[in-house]
Amino acid sequence: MAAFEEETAQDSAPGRTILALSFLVFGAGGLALMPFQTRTAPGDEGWFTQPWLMPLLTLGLLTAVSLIYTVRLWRDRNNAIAALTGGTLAGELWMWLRSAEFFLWYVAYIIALGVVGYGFSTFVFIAGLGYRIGLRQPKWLLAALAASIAMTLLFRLGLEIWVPPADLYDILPKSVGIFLQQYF
Amino acid sequence: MDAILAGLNQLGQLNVLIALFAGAISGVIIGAIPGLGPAVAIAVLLPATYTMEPLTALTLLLGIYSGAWYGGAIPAILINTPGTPVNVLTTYDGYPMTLAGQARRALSLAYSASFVGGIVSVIVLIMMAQPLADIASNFGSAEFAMAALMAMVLVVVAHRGRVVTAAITLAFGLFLATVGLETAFNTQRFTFGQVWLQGGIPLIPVVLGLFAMSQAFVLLLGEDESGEPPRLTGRFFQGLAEVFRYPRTLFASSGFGVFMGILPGVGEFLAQFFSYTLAQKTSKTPELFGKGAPEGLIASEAANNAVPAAALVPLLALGIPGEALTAMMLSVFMVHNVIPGPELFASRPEFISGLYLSLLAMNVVILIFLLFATRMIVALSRINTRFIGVVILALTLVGTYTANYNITDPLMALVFGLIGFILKRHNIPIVPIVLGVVLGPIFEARLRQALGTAGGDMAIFVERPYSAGLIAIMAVAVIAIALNNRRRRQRERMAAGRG
Repeated sequence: MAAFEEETAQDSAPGRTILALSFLVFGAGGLALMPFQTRTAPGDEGWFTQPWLMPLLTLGLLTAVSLIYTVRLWRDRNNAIAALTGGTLAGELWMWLRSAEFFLWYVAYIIALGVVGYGFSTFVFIAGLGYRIGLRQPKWLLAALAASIAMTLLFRLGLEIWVPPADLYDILPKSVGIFLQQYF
Repeated sequence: MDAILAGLNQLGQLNVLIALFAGAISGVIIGAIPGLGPAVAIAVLLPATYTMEPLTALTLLLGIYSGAWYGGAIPAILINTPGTPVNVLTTYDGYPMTLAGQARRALSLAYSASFVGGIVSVIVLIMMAQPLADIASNFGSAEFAMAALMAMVLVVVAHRGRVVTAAITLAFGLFLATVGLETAFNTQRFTFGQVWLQGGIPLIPVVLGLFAMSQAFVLLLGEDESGEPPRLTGRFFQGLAEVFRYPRTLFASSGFGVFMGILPGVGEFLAQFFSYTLAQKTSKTPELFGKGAPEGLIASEAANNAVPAAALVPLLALGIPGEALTAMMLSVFMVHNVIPGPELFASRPEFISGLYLSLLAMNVVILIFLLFATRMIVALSRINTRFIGVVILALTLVGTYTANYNITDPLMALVFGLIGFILKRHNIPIVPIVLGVVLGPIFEARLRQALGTAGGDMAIFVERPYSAGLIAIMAVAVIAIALNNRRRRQRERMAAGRG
């Protein structure tokens, strides 16, 4: 079972080492910040009622197991060499950065929602991002149109999800604007 | 009898029926599209279900959960690509059957085995949930704290070969659950003075980010994995009855699925692994496994489909979810102030029997739908997986933004999406994060109550029989896994020595 789970991952030694160190720093940093980010409750109601108990337990566990994981990775000589010499480090970080591009696309989608409405912004998002990743034939434009119509019907008409009024609808004739605001 | 009639009355409501058909059919379709999967679909739909009645919402989500495992077998058998991760073993024997011109036989064997596994699982749920809830009515805070702890421990040890990384992500999830306003003393924990963190880390952005957005990133940055399905050949109805020629494999695999489904955190992977191994060991033709053995296909599919209903046993009886999908479902209960556990059986018997009946009906609807719509569903495996990634990302907007209409929820979801994407690339489990977020507050509250009644004496956890029993189960699980790992390492060393 573990064997075919491994097959699905695009693993890299530097990536794992960075992750292990990140969790270790996160846990240890959290423990260091505990005096400033939690308080000791007044009175004498017992240690088990203290607000710092669960953060202490969870961050302690996180730090301990991250440390074990980091040491294990480091003891594997090949791993350590790959992490130190870079190995595929640059490629791995580049892949992480590429995923961050979609972050910006998504923020633009949210902003567009308030400007042109749900249906149209969804179409532009699907068609635009599809174009960006290489889906550039006319059939993908039609697919984007079909997907955005289906989603608008499902969420706006079927599940009656409310979305904020779009600026575009204000400049349209009132009856059209109201209709679009309700269903689109 | 009254409860059954009340359940039928619940099931007969139009909105429940619509949810039943919509969930079952969309679940099959979602499962048949490689790269999508029920976790993505449930995460996307979760916020929308908060406005529905609990039974309607749960019927919809359970339909997706159950249907996806049926649908996932289709691309596994036809194009050697599992529709969902749990259909991997189905490819071992399903695809060789397709190559041998027996695609329809393989599909009907898979459907029939899945149906039997699903029905057995619902029957066990009906038989076990009430008695377990009766036992749980004797539970105090100590037992509930230990039940939550047991779920966490089992989730970690169930990740064979990845126990340390599972413990890391569980601890991370548990820590996330502590962020925000702490209600007992009205103090803030790790909010850094930010108002938007005072309410804590909401579940919706976490699940949408970890399951839906991260999967979208994986698909967007990967190659298109869609395949051209072969022509359907062979006799379709042949396999429906053929499964009963292998009753031992069929019912043993269903039993494994049920047992593993009830155990928190274990689920489909181990169920099908054990079922497949047992089926091969007890088969008269073990050499055919991996080359198109009907028993291999039956073992994998019956075990998978026996899990969903069984996974509801700890959720309904104890209020403790055992894996990510039931953790999401727990939030549906919570939103409607319906507290799963022993009291639910006494106060809402019509809800419980309505849920049982909808689970039974769901399996029938799915089977009938598959018998008539397989040809249409097969075409779905041709959809470009990168386009699916774009659509998933678009679908998440409704859940992230329209829940509170602020920018922090979608940004939080995006951060979890990036975290999930990076963890997935390195095969580090993400499910423990969600369980940590859900089980953390339950554990903390019950731990405080238990120790409060005992005056801070930790002995309360071993003095109470049920609590001590739960601790014993945890100890046995940990020791068994440790011994198993040791044996495996010894075997690997011996194999390396021979090599």
